[in-house]
Formats: sequence, C-alpha cells, structure tokens
Amino acid sequence: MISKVTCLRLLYAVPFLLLSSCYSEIDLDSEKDSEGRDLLVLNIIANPDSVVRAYATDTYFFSDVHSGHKFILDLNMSLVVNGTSKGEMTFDERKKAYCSDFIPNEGDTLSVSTTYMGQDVSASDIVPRKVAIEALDAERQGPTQYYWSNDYIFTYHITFTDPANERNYYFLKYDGWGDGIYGFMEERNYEYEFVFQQLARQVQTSRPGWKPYSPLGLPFSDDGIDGKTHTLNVKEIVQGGTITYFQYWTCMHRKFWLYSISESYYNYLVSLLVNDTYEESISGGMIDIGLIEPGKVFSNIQGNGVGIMGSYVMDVTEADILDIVGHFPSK
Amino acid sequence: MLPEGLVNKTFSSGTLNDGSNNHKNEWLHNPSVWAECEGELTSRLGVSLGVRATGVLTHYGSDFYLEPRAALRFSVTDNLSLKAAYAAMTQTEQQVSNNFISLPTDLWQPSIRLFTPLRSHNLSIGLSGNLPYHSFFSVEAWWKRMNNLLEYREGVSLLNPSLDWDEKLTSGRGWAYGIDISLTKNIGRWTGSFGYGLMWNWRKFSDLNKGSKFPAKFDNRHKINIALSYEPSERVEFNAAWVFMTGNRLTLSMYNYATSGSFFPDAPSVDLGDYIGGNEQLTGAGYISGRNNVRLPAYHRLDLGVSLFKPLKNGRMTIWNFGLYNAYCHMNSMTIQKDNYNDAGLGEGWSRKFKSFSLLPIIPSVSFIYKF
Repeated sequence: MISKVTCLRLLYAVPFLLLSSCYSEIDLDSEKDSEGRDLLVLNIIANPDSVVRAYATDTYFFSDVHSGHKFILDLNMSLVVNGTSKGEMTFDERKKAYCSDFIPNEGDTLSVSTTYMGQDVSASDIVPRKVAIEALDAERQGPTQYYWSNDYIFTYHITFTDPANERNYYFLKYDGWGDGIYGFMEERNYEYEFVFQQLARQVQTSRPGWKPYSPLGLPFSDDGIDGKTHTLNVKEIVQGGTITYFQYWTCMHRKFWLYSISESYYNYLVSLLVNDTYEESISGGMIDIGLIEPGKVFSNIQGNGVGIMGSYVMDVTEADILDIVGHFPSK
Repeated sequence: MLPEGLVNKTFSSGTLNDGSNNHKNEWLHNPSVWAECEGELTSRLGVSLGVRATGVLTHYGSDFYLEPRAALRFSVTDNLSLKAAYAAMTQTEQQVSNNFISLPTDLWQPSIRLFTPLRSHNLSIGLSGNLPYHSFFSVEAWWKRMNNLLEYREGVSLLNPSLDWDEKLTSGRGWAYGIDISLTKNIGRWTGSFGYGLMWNWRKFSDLNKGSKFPAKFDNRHKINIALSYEPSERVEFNAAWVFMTGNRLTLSMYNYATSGSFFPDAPSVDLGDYIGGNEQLTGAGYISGRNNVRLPAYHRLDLGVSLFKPLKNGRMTIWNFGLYNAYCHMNSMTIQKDNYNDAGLGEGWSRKFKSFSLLPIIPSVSFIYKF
C-alpha cells in the first residue's frame, strides 16, 4: 500500500514531470543558404599612430567547426582620404591585413571600398580630434570594510574638456603597469561616474540590471557634459585579505587612457555590450528565455558586408598613485 | 548603439528616461453601438449590411470609428452558395508577442497615449455547399490589411522597469492573405472534419528591420486540422484531433563573424571574448539578417479524449472527460538557442550547437461536468 508521504511525493512530482522542459540539438543546416553566408567581414580601426589596416574575413555558420579566422585574399581594396585616392591597399601576409602606406590625421575622412562576390562593399569614418587629459588626481579611502576589514578604495579623477556644440564620444581605460604587484590592477568600479551611469541606462534598455563594468574599459558620450570641463571619477578596490603588506608597497603604477572615438565606433562598442550573451548574468538568462528582443550588432559597412570601420585618437597619462596619496599607513 | 527602434525615439538627444512611470492609472472606455439589416434582393441573392460605431475614450482624448461591413450570398444551386464579404474592424487592445520564443507570455496592450487602435480591413470570397453522403465543404480566399499594429522594438527587454510598456513598442502595418478549405462528413456514428489553410502574413514598420517588410511571427504557411469523433452509444464519445502547422518564425543569428578586438588589441574594446582568449574560443558577433528570419520546425500534436455521459433524473447530467494532450509526446520547439559549448575535439577547432527548447510533453487531463 502506498503511504501518504509517497502519495504526496508523487503529487508533487507529476506536475514537474509534465511541465518539464527539454533541450535537444537541432540541425539548422537548411538555413545555411540564408542571408549572411556570402558577406565580407571588414574590421578597420584607424588611428594616427599607424597605417590604415583592414582585416577581411568571412562569416561562419554558427554550428560549423570553426578553427579560426578565414582571411579573404585577392581583394582589390582602395582607400580614399578626404576625397583623394590613396591607391590600393596591399595584402600583408604577415599581418593578414590589407595595409596602406597612409597614416591618418585627426579630422580625416577615410573611405575604403572593395568588391566581394561581385557586389560592392564600402565603409567610411571620420577620425576624431584628440581630447587631452588635463589633470589626474587620486584619493585613498581606508582601511575600510568592502570585502575584508582592511580594504582600500582608490578614487581616480581624470579631468578633460569636451568640445562644445558637437557630438563627441570617448572610451576610458585604466590599468596597472610595471612589474610585480605594484603594477597589478585590482577591481575596477565605474558605477559612481555620471557618464557611465548614462551608459548603463542605455544598455539597460536591453539588459536590465547591467552595471558599468569591464576590465577593458568602457565607452561614453558627452550627453550631459557637452562643452564642459568634466572630471571622471572611477575607483579601484584594493582588497586587503587576511594578511597584507601594504605598508611595504613602494609604488603603485597606474595608467589612464582617454580615447576620443568616432560615433560609429561608439555605436559598435555599445551594441557589443548590449549583445554580450557570454556573460553569466540575469540579462544573459533573459535572452535565453525570450524576455529580451534580439538586437543587432551595429555595423557601418555598406553593401555586401558587415563589421566596423571605426577610428580613435588617444591621450594617455600615467602616475605612481602613491606619489599622489602617500604611502599606505603602517599597521 | 541603442536598439534600432529606439535610436530616433525616446533617447534621440540624450534625453534619458528618468525611470519614473507617470502612466500607472490609465483608463480606456470603449462604448459602441451596432446596426444591421439583412434581406433578400432576389430569390438567390441575399445581403447583410451593418455598421458598428465605436468610441475610444482615454484621458488623452477621444476618437470615434465607424466599422462598416457587408456580406453577399449568392445561391448558385440549392446546395452551393457563393459568398463575399467586407468588414472593417477596430481593436482597442491587441496582443503583442516577442520574437524569440513561442510561449504564452504575450502582452495585451491597450491603445492609449502613444498608439491608436488597430484598424483592419478584411475581404473574403468563398464557395460552400453540401456534397453527397452528408458532406459539407467550404473554400474561402481572404485578404486582410492592418494598420497601427504593435511590435516590440528591437533589443528591448520586456522586463526593463525604466521603460513604460508602450515605450517598448512601435507601430506599423501588416497584411495577410490566404485560402482556407474545410470538409466535414458524417457516417453513422462517425463524424470527421478536415481543414487546410494556406497563408502569408507580413509586417512593415518604419522602426524595425530598416523599414523593410518582414514576415510576422505567425507566418504559418500551412495549417492542417483533422478531427474525428465516434459515438458508439449515447453515453460514450471518443475524440481525436490532429494539428499540424508550419512553425512560427523567430529572430536568430545563423552566422557569426569576428569582432574588431581580435585584430586591434590596442584599440578600445569591450568584447570579453578577445580578452579571455581570442575569437577562436568564442563566437564573435552574431549576424541577424532580418527580423523573424528563421522558421521553427513544424508544429504538430495529437489530442485524444473520451467523454462519458451519465443522464440523471430531471434532465440533469454528469460528464466525465479523460484526455491526452500531445498523445504521442512530440516535443514541439518553442525557440532555438545557440549553445557555445565546444563539442569538437582538441585541435579541431570549435564546434557549437543550435538547441531547440521544448515544453509541454504528453499531458493527461480529467474533468468532471455536472449539468443542471
């Protein structure tokens, strides 16, 4: 005779069994002829520190075995700068890229065009003008309780002036440099900075709960700071742990890059953030269960192609943070 | 880059939504009056004319719509008739489905604030009649045009609390057309029906798919319904129904491509794939060729049921019904996901899979009805 407990267990189990979901592999090879197969992928990021390079690869069907990039050779790719032809870009076997001899300048309008599968592919972008870092300052808070009882919070202040009456786009990156632990960047925090809060609100359109974080840096626009001298406030959380030797630190090297980036490049980077499904996050899960509408990654490649032609100019400054805030206090 | 549909809208000049929702207490009243007349113009030609006047009252204002309709019926013979009809309709609430999964998580959006009611114009022409051996058939061709349709904007999260529901939507137009065929037949205690539909369903929104037309989510090309019932006695009835239809459509990137970070390591990048280990290990960006670009596998299922009738005194009756939903347990695909798990051997590159997500296998049911 079935006991009451067993009966209850069965009653609980039945709905779960009946409503259980099922994943199974599905063969979509019939979709291989869909639009996307014969597209040229162009990746061109120009800057005044190097010649113009263009990487031409193909798209690949998601479920095919992919062993790396397949570079497209034998393209006739031409570069035009400010309406003047700079000739053909030649394929550099070592770099696997089509290269020009031309090094762009700030404000140049670059256009690249080629033909792929009998159809035109082209892209253009305007190299932005450099915006300089005017000042760098730092503060230290701690020892304090963040993760441990003896953590330190560093706040970095990076000041620059946004050119007025024009749309400008930027990218901030900060990292450690130098040898050993003194050059090791710990946890970054962008959440208290206005421009990254604006970025978060954009990204949260698709990804609720997204917080402005990336070890690689983040883009931002001049929304709300147009024409103003603005100080970016970003943080670094240095964890103390159970045993710390902060008092023996003699230096703490940090480097700050302020990139001025083109509008297309900004759109591209933000769309990558919006479409980042690698991240194990609530929003990634929501993409899986259909609570986020699929979105496209921005592309400014015209014709039979996809990818990005972007450009940037950077200013960089570096400092030994301990020179600014002083050495860690002794225990 | 903001989702395509939002670029030129809410956030166009950097004006960001402050997250407050001032539209919680919306209301909509929908009074209507209706008049209809039917008559016979000749012994073979009948006509039905009607009009419905409907008002839409909200605290943003009021609108008034007329919905004329007309139907003609021509009896070709005593057993064969030809029908033609036109109807205009106004719908103040409409169902909005997301484009990635076929689940009953649809939104019913009232036409307030940013949107006007859905207006549709329906034309149909058909032939129907009796066939020998207790059979009935109908064939109908139809065409439908819809204005002020709603769809989710590209890339928005359905759960984003900082956007109102109507800000997640955009309006456009659509059109659908097709042919429906049905055949019903009785043989003794057996009743059978067969239905077939062939249809096309399109959308065109200025804010979506770069303004180009795209297939609707429910662009199900073929639909087949077969139903069979058998009554061995007045107290027992067996039912079987089989449904088949071409799968719904969804938006999915089939091809991927390399992002810039793998080629320009010194340039600004946010692609963690490049940071973690290069694009060889991760997938790069997905290329979406268009909205609703992929069709799910065909949907089909068999439902079985038996009803037991027990007449009681004073005309009352009890009915027990036992059923099996999806009797052969076909796991119909709700959506397709991309699985980044590497299934290739070491040194052979990276292989990924498409995964079909299914729900609702075989489901038994039992119901009891007491008629009094």
